[in-house]
Amino acid sequence: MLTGRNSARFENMFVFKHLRRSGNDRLGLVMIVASLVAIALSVATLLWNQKQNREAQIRVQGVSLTRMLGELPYSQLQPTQGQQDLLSTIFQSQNDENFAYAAIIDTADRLISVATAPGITVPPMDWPDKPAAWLSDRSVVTSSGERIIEFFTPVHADGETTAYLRLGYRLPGMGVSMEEIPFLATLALIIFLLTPLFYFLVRKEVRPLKEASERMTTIVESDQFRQIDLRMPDELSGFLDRFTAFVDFAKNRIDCLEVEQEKLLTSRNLVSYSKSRVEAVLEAMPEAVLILDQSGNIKYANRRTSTLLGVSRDEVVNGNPADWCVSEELFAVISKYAGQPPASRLAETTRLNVGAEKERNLAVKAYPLYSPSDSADVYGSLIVIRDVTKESMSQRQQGEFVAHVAHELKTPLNTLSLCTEALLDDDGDDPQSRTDAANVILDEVQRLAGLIDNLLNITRIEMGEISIDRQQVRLHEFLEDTFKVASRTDKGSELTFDLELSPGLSTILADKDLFRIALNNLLTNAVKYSRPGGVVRMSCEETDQAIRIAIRDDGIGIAEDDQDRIFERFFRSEDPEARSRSGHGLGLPLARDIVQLHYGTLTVTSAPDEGSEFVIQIWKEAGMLKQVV
Amino acid sequence: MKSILLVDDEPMILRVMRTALEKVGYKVSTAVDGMDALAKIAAGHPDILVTDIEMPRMTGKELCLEIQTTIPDREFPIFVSTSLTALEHREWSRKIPNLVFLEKPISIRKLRSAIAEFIAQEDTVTA
Repeated sequence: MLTGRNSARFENMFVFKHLRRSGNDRLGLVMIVASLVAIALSVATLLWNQKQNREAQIRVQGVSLTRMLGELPYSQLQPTQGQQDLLSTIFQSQNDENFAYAAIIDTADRLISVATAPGITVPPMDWPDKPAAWLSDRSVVTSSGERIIEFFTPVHADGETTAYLRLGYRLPGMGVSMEEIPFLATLALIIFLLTPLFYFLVRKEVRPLKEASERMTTIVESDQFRQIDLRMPDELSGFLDRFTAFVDFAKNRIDCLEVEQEKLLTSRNLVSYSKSRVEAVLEAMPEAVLILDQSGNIKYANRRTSTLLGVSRDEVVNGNPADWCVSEELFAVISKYAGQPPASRLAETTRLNVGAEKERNLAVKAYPLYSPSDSADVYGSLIVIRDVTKESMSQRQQGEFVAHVAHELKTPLNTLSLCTEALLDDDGDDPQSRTDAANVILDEVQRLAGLIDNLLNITRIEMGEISIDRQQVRLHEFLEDTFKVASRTDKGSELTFDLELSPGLSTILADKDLFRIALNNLLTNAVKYSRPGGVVRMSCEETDQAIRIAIRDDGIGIAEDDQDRIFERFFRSEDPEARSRSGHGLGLPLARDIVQLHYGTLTVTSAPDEGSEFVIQIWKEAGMLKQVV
Repeated sequence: MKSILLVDDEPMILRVMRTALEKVGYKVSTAVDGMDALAKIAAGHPDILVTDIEMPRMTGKELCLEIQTTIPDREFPIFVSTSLTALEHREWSRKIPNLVFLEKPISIRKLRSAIAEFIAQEDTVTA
């Protein structure tokens, strides 16, 4: 595709070539035509002059002859019998080819005497009303169409006009006589020979200009300006000097313009690139970004703005903030910096809640936009809006977690404090009181240790710090041991423990210690929430797809609403009967985390007063199981 | 014999405090949360109420406010044990007369002494 500049150059080249070719062709032709025209004009002028001279000559001759004859007496002019009349004698003596006729006519219009050239008849006399009394002339046309100039004068006899003398001459034409042809041919030849001479002289004179033209054509074709170096005659050298100076000036000017254009183009590309880069960065930012000018009008909003604020970018940039602002706090921030950018680089943070239920928490910061070259010059304001919902939630959860931990730690400490004080007081002397206090202290210390163990384990698992030591575990023996240990509790004597294991259970690949913690937490809960006389049952079945371990009790059960929440950390049921059993709400979340580490699931089925069943399902596809050899 | 109602969701604490107070001659009954306590109070007003703050179903604060609403002319004092700062409870407790905060961890000695002090004051007023 031709750019504007290239297209112009192409057109110039075409014009130059066309001019050069047509100039060469025409000059020769013009010279030939000019020479022919010159010959024609020269001959015509010559003939015209000859005609004019002849005419003048005829007039002089006619007037003098007419005057001379008119002064003769009428009697001498009349023809005499037996003698050649005077007119014929004069006519013959003139020997002039233009002499057409000589005649005498009396006043009665009778022809008295006449002499004519062959083929000529004397035209009738058109008498004037008042006959002329002296010599005169007139133009007449003969019956054969020839133009005649006639001189006439009255002839007197006895003092009266008795007749008229008429002398007619043919008017000379433009014709060329045979005698003149050699002269004219010579003249034409001279002119014709002068033409090529003139042509070559012109060519010689024009050659420097032509060379200059060709060089300019070359320059235009090559699209590169060069100095035009020519040797020219003195008379043209001044012109060429000035022309060369003009071309130099034009070249320098064009060079300057080209440099400026290049700079401008580079600068424009740079600005365009920088702008695109800055915009790309702004568009990619996870925060919403608004740019306000000095008057507080929003000049830019990035893509995130629309998703974060729920309004279109166009509305934000072109609309009135009062119409689209999602909260009064945000409107207050934007209004605050309208016409008055932030004074400090240290941005103030404004927090606001948006959304239908104010569920999203946003942090808004405003910064002044300083000029890069002069920090005293402020362009406007930059407003950055960040979604801090997750951060806030995380902080809140962290705070709640710490509060829960503190509460759970402090509760057994309270009990320990009370018991210790009792032992120190008088109660310490009483054996029964002492035993009671010691039992309580033991329980609470165990509870505290369990709490701390669970807390550490669950934190490590959730932070990914714990390393899983997977090893081959014989499921049958492992479940038997774990169940036996769990059944040895104070409450054990009130309950029935039932273990049902399918024969030939697989060996599983598991972290024995962690898996034991999970099973122990479930069994401890089953014991804790059983009522006296209840049954705690653990069973294990194996299918082609999975291992299913179920731990069931027929105790107090779990309310339906609580079943969804028992795996949350620190969740404790509000049921008084459940509350009467000590606990800290970490056992089940930890058990679930451990089962998930073993690519399994932990689910619960329960009904109040009917008991609960917790089921661990471990899928064989997970590649954790190995068949017993 | 003065009757004391102990309200706490921690069975161990209830057990130890009950034993300690019974030893010095008080008749002690217990409740596991605010709701349980309201039911016990409805059955018969205690001479002294000792309650924890953090409890499920109905907290100690809710229990106090409920008692203030249902029994505006209450005569028995309320001892509230809390590990939270008094500042957080200043606002709501201001409306409730005859209420004393005991800081956690609870000391049997301090509790006995606070109860004894209250009874002594009451005896003085009665005399």
